[in-house]
Amino acid sequence: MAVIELIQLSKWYGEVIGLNNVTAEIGPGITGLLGPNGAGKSTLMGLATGQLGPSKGAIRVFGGSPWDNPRLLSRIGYCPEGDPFWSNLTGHQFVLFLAKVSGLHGGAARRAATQAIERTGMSPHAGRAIRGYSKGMRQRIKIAQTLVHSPELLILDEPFTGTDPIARHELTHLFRELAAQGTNILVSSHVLHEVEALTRQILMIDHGRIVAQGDVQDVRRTMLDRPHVIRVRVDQPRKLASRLAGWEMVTGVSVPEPDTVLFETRSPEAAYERLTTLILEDGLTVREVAAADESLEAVFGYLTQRSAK
Amino acid sequence: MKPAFPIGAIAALFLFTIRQMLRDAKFWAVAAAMFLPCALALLIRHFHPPIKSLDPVWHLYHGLSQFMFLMGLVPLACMIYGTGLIGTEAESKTIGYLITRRLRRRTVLLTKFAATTLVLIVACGVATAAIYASVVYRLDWQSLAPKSAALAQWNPAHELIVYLSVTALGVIGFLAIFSLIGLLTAKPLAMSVFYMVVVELVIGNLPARAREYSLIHQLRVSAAASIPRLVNLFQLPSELSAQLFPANGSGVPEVLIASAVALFLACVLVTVRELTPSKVARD
Amino acid sequence: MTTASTDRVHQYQRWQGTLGKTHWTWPAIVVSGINLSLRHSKTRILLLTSGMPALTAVGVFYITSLLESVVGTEEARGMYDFLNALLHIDIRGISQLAEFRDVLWRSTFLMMARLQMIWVLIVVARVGTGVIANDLKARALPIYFAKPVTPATYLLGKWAVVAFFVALVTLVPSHAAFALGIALTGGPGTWAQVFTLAVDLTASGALVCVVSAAVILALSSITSDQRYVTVAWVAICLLPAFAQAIISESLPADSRMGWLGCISLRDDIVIVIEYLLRIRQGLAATSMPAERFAQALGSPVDPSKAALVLGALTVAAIVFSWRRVVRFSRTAATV
Repeated sequence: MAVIELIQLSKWYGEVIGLNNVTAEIGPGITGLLGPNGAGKSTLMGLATGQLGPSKGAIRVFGGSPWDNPRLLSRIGYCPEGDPFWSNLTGHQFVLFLAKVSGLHGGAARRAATQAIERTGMSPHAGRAIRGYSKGMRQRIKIAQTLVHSPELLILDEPFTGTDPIARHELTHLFRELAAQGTNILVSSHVLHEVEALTRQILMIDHGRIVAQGDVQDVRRTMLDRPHVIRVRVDQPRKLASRLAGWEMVTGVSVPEPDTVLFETRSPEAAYERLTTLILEDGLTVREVAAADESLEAVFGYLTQRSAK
Repeated sequence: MKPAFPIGAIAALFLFTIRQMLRDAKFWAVAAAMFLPCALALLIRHFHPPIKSLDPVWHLYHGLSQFMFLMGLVPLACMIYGTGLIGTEAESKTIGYLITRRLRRRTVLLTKFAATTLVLIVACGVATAAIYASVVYRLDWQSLAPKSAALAQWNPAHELIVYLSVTALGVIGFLAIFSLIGLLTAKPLAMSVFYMVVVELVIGNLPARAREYSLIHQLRVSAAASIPRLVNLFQLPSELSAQLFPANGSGVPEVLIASAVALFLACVLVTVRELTPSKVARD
Repeated sequence: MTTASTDRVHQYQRWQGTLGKTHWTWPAIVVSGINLSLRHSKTRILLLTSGMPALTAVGVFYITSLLESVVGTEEARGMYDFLNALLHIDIRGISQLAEFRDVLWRSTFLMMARLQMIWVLIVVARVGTGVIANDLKARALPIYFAKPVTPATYLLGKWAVVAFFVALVTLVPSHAAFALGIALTGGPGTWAQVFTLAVDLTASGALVCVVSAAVILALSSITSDQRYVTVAWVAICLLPAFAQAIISESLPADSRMGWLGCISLRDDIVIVIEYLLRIRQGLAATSMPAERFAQALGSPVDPSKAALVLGALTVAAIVFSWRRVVRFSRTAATV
């Protein structure tokens, strides 16, 4: 059964479109919501937590509308992006207050707050005012308030932003543990590898439209037929360029800098293999071989161009 | 199983709102401003030539209470807190924490309203008492003769109680109206200043029946119901004065009905509107 | 074989030219602040309407010049009433009106200054309240202080933005009215009689600019919320004025001559402007009877006390905003 259903969902802010006629189902477990800045990720999360209302269509969470629906919202834990805090509170006061507002009483609220703070590794800093927290600590205390009432669905907007690699690793571990215990998680990011470390299920959006959905491997496979650009930094770029121009699998070659060759191919794996042989045969001194466009933006560029066609 | 009515969550938000108000420097600045009439009364009494009769004392007390406190400082404090009741949380985006929890949007609004009302009533009450104290402080009652017969029966303690009640009523009324304005427009403070000038200061002081539509007039009616000679302070023609301050009028139901309507509309707005910074509080 | 290094190190560019002097960064802050404020149509409309007191003043100059030619006739009665209502100076029965020209002009500019205080209140509320508060809100101060901007140049730049707009609603209309008045009412003869007024007007306008800009800088540095700065500014302008009015009602005239007469910022500015315009000296030099003189200007208020209050307030405001900005700059350095 789908945890979140988007039914011909559109959301616009004046003339700006946040989401454009999106229909999708987000299933149980962890789902990664991927997209560049301004793609519509936060809009989708705002709609799923009942902070925003659809301009058109509908959104269902656990089968109901989240708008002003406390019974349903108490099953959701929401971690917003940015720094929305009552910064004069200490971390403990912040989590405890939100535990109480979530319906927990006295001792139960205190226990839940302490537990949530412990789980996010914030116990040593819980007595300090939030205004003195680092970016990473702020992220973790926000996640603690998300967990405090043991929700069935976590909606996490860019939870890894500003965290150091150790904190990222710990949070990834925590989210996996929660998912193993049956908690559903929708996590947004614009960094592919952060999401890949958490889940295989992804939903990619761009300009308010879904450009890819499903298993991350399937999405990667979809991308295989796009031309890959490979950059080689070498001592004899012209010699290498002339050799590459003769290969059938290469669709374009250029020498943008005196020591750099860029070439485009639809068969990157074969190209890497043959390039190694060529380097050895011709005795070239190579300083770098790298894919020039493996960033998420490049993937999006490809996917969005393709969806536009 | 969670309770149907989240009383614990409401209590937590109520206490949290009070605590946040008291920890904010803004509150103490507003509270300090509340004592301006009191300071002024002390200054005037210090520089005033020896007081021979009760009349100037009575005029000073009611002049400061009516024209400076009820007409100026109480609405100002309510404007600052009423327009920001939801707007401040929306602007800092902390409203997201409150409306994605166990509480309905209207419950969040009403709880914050109740907490703010309580704090402001206490603050205004202390300031009202301070005005009274500064006026009657070291006044030699025995040697002062009232110029007018009406002042022969002057009971300042009774009038203090009347002012405390009227101030509380004023806080409820103004806070409700400014809370509504705070949700009605993206520029609540500018709109509130406009309302204050046009409705309360201009219409509320017109020598015509139109002033009945202002809150400030209804508060004066409620004060005059217990202190009849207060009507003289407004220097209205006697016929109009009789119409505007009817013998059996109290002003209280009018203020309470206006507050209830404003709060109801605010509840509707907070339920149907998105509480994003661009839509609430963009002054 | 070259050693491994990143592209960034190779491509990093350093500025090769000459850097400007640090203390000349403030004009850039001023220009940016002015441009930002002028983008709002409401500000532009507000500036346009600020010419209204000046137009009224020009009207008064014109009527005065007409009056000189019809003095003593039936036509003059309406003009007398108009001038009396506007300037509170009763010049009926005085035949040598040319003698009064200088003092009439000065009284007109005092009336104009009183009216201009409304525009000062609004224009400062519009453009001044956010000068530092908005930077605090947008967390722009670390960006400023990462550039060759010192707290002094920052503060000077921000002060100049407010002072510029205050000058636009005070100094500029006053001088425009002065020039128009001379052009409309006789040219060189009038100029010879009133030319010192130009200097007095400049001093009066500068006083308003300095004080109001300093006060709003201090208020704007208190909080990042422009709304509260606006409320505080309006409260500082209006509440003491109300209090002053209550004091005037409650106390006999002699007891409010001292410090008690100096609690309102607006009234203090007007008192000092009245002194700078030298109206009392001007009237004393004419043949006007003493009782009319008193009726025209009311009881004299000691301008030195008002000036002292304004001076103390300005210095306190500058020191306060300076300390705040220095604190922000230190915080910015540690971010």
